[in-house]
Amino acid sequence: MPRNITLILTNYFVGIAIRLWLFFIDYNTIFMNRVEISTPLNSWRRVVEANYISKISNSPNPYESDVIYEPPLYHMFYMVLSNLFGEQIYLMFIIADILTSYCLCVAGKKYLETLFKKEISNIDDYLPDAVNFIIKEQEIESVDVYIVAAYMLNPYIIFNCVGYTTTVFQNLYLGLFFVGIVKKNVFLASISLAAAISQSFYPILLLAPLFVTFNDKRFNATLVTTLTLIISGLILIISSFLNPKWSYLNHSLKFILSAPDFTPNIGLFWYFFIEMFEHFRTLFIYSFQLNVIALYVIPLTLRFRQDPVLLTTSLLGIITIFKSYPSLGEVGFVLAVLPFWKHLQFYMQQGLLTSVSFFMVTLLAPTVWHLWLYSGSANANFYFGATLAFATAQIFMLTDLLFAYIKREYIIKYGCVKECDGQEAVLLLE
Amino acid sequence: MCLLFFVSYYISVVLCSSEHFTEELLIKPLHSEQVYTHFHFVTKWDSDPNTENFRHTNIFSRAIGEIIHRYNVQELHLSLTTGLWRYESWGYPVVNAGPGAELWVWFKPDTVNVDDKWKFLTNALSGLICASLNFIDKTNSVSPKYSFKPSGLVREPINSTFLRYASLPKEHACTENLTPWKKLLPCKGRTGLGSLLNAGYIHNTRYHSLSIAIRTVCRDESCTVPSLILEQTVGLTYDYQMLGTRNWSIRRLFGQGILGPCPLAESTTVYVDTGSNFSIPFSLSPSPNEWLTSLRGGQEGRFAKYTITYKPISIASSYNDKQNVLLKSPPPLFASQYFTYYGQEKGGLNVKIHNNHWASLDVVVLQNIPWIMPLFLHTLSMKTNGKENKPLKLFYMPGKMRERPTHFEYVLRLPAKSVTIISVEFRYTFLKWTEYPPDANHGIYIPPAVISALLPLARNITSLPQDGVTFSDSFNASRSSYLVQIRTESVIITLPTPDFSMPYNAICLACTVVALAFGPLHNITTKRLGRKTKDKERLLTKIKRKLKNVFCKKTINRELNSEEDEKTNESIVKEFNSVCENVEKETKKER
Repeated sequence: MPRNITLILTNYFVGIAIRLWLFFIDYNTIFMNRVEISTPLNSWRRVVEANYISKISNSPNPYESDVIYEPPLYHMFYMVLSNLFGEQIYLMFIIADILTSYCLCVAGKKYLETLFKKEISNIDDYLPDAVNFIIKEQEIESVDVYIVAAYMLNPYIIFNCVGYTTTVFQNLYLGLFFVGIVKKNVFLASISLAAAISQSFYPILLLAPLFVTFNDKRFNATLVTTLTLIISGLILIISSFLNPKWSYLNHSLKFILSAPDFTPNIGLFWYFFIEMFEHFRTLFIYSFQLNVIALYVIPLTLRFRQDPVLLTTSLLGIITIFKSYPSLGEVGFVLAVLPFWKHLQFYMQQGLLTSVSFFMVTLLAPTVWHLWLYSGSANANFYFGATLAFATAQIFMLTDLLFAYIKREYIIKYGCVKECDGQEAVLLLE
Repeated sequence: MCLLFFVSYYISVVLCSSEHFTEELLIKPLHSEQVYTHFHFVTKWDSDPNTENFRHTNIFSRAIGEIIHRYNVQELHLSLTTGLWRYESWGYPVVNAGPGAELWVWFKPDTVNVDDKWKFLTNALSGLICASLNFIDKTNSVSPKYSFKPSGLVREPINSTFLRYASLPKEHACTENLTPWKKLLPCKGRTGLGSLLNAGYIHNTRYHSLSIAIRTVCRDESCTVPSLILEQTVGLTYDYQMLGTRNWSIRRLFGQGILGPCPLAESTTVYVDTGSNFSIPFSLSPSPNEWLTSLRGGQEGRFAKYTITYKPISIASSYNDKQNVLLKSPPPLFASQYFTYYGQEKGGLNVKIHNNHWASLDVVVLQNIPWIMPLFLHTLSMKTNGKENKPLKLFYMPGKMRERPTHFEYVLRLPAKSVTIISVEFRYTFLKWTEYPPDANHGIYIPPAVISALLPLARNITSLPQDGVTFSDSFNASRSSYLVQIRTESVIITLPTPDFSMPYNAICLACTVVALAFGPLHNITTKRLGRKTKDKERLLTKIKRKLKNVFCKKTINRELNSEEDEKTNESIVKEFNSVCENVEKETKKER
């Protein structure tokens, strides 16, 4: 058996074992109740609650109260799953995680192979010393081990899985989307993206990489984008049949956009809008939503149109940092995609800073949470500080990745000369 | 002449009018260390409220009439209470009232837009009795399905969509409510039993409750025409410890004796419940006009009746020194409400109901839970003596943020001699900083649970029968069952608070983080990467050079003008050369 396969299987085995262990320990509900892991949008407790109240005699519509915010079709899907698996529902989450990591593994490998082919074919254009910097074959061979490890052993993804969040499924759709764009499979890409869009709206930004991917002679990019939107519209229409009133839109889309629930999470919205002055609330809701939805998508698309996978990752990063109800599972997904750019590690400068920040905040946030809500010796500002630090760490990671990417792009083209006019020089954006 | 006019007016009002006013006072020494007094003022108006235009009233309060007319009210029950009625040791009061303000109203079945009417009605009542009832709106009101039935005459089938119930547990009864409340009495607080209600005395009690009820009753036995009833009651519980002695008297309780009846009243009566006389004997002076024995639901009661005339009177009791040790006989049904868990993340809301009766009892429990504490109904557990007890009926309408409270109502069968605990988990929510009440860390009051039951026995029951109007109607009023609606305590929830002094800081810090992302992303997407010579100059020398440049600019300029010209020429040549090289490189590449 090749070494790679053994390592991958070990990763899977260890990942599954950790998950199973965490599912069965007594403290399992801690993960379920952590605000960093489950938000109003992805909490499985709310799914259970919606199932429960739809069975009682007067059967109140869960979409006319603060019970569940995902569209009815998804709720039905979860209901079917919980009826199917019953007590063993945790298996479903583990299976979804395995599938996602497999998708990422396939996508990563294919992505790097394409990159390798492209760079080999362009090798004549590069400066002679750039050959040292182009991607190496052995790197491609080992990348799947890293990707599987980064997903299956990623603590954030593990927390997300054992915390029973519906982000597990969201990650699966996104994983499939990666496969779709890497393999240029129109149907896979558009269906998985449509599923992600209808579930949490923000993936609508990923229409840009979808457009860019299929923007060549073989495909009609506009058609593909429209197809995706139509499918996601269809999901909403089917949902409206399941829940005869369109009121659920108020409870999914409007909830995501206007963010009326201020339960703390790892994002920037909650404290900002708790403390917001009433007459500026609408203004800032609009600006914060535009910040994530409209501000970065066009510049990033123009800049990284050659590489839709990087574009997808950076947009996902922006979504996770700035969306209204982010969770650790989404951060974990972005982190798990990072091994795609293992070859950029050489160019990244803030790896230590970001990883230490991630580590510290992950420990600090629950601590100050406890101090605030249980001991009463801290206050909301402490937790707010932790979330700010977490967002900053994510921003540093994302900008570092993008900067590393363009640096590598430059160095391959112009060589790694550290001199300019005989003097020592640095690479700068100007 | 004047006297003649007054007398004729009095005769016309009392004898010829269709409005009847009675006033009653019940004094009931409780088995524990308290004495309970209950004032019962009833104005009965023989007029059909559906056709009456309320333009003219004689002794019925016109303000109330206008409210009934304008807001299409069929039945109204309002109570303002301070303190908690201790069912376990005090038995049942004549009028049940939850802590704080409680209001439940039946609107007429032809009412359109009940929610608006409800909002306007609470505002009107708020003005009428100077309580903050204007805080009642649809965000804290429910339409109970099973708990509240009209207590008066109803012709149409009951439809609970015309019912609204709300409770403001933090709203206390105080002097500013008593004064306008007394103004609704025909004799105000000037004469009659109303004159006993002096703020200085009645607020020194363990429990005091003002209430107003409007309902329709049958005018006579045949019940062909309805009459309108305005009931005003005051319930007070005095503590012997606070009185300083067990020997209560009217003067000690209210600060003055009864000077005479209200001239507009058909009867002014004082009843003293001497039911406890067997265990703790006391004697009354002066001796009563009449002794009454009431046999009601297997319970024998003995009352001393005083008919008040224009002769001032103060009824006093004197206890023998010898005191017997009492065995409490707790009422068949009592309940309490409490929180479990600690911290401000999640909690458990529990209702504990005791059934002391020897047979099983069916109870209806109503919980009106504010939206600030959303329930997880799947964690609901109803356990009687540790065993699961399935509700016979269950109604649940989950709350909605800033719009609607959680309405939770269920019917339970409590086995004989049992304790039932109903518990459900909830989570704490985080509000906008402007939504917290003043003194946010004190907490928010959660309304009491209302537990309704039809008891088969009248033990500890003092309330009127449904067909009764005055307190005397409860004598010998044996019925098949007796309705009690007990209230639990209200509980306080302390929501996690933000730092109220932080708005600017929070806004600045969050915006800084947004800017942290915007800057680099803007650079990456709009700028091109290039090489630049490293600035080897030290910071200090850099600053020095710049300062020098600023201060000595003119002189240096003059001196170095010629030299600089030469230098610039050189650099231009260098640049030109490098550009040429670049162009050559690029053309090579293209080839």
